Amino acid sequence: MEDKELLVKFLNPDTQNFAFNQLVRKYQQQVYWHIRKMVIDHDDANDLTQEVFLKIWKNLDTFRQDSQLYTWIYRIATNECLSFLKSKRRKFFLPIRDVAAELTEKLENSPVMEGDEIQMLLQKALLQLPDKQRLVFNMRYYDDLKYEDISAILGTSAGALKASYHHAVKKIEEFLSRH
Amino acid sequence: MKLEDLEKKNIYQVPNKYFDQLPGSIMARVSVTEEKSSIFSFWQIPYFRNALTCFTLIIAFVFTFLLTPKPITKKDFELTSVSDKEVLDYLLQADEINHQDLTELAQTSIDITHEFIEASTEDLLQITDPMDVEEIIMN
Repeated sequence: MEDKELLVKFLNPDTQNFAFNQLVRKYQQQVYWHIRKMVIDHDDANDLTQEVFLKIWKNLDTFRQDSQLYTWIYRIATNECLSFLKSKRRKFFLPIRDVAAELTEKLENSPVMEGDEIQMLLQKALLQLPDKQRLVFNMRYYDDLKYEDISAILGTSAGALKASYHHAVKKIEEFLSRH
Repeated sequence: MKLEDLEKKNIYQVPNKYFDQLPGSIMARVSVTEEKSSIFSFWQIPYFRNALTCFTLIIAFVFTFLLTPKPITKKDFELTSVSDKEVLDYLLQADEINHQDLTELAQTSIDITHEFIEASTEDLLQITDPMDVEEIIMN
């Protein structure tokens, strides 16, 4: 079902639940994986994914159709991730490196595909990046989003995003070469 | 090592049938949220919250400033025990009467001087700077 049709059905009380169910089915994987790559832990990702969809449910009637639905959904998911990581630091008074260490530990303990050390190393390299740079990298590298779309999600200029992505790639390649 | 040499893949895993069950979990939470919000509450009436907040503040103000009896302060207690004459003496002193005032008073209204200040012209001249007296006479 197209986004426009979903929105029309959502605004009709008789078809609201049906439309929202379709929307969840359509976007759940994108939202979940976007969050999972940021918070690493499945339980955290599951909680945040549900929170994101609850927020979408509460605010979808105010969604202005001058932007695309998926960029709006990505923006909500991104804000949830950043708030989560921020609160984690505030709660435990952890500096950036310690949160990275905690996430690395979770990564090592999470069930991942066996025998893929280089992929594991890539994930560890990503955890060395600042949160926003990691977000940019994930959206560009894994999700194949255009810089214009990332710009709409993060509210940063496309030029700045390109520079951030290239810096991220450079840091990752250096990390991979060192290890 | 170059990033482009790596195969692009997702190494994370999810529990079995996770994405089949997730929409059900989300819809269940949505239903709970809807039930909570559909329960009638005065709190949801427009302006009710503002009105209640204002009313509470007014009540708190009345209790704090108007209905609470004022305790008798030490200052009040001391004033009640002071005689009128002592108060009058205090007021005369507090009015910053200086030697020049007394000298002027003695020259203009001798009766008042004697009645209230209880000092003679000689007494006043004795404690007054002659320079001030000369100045007053010249004026």
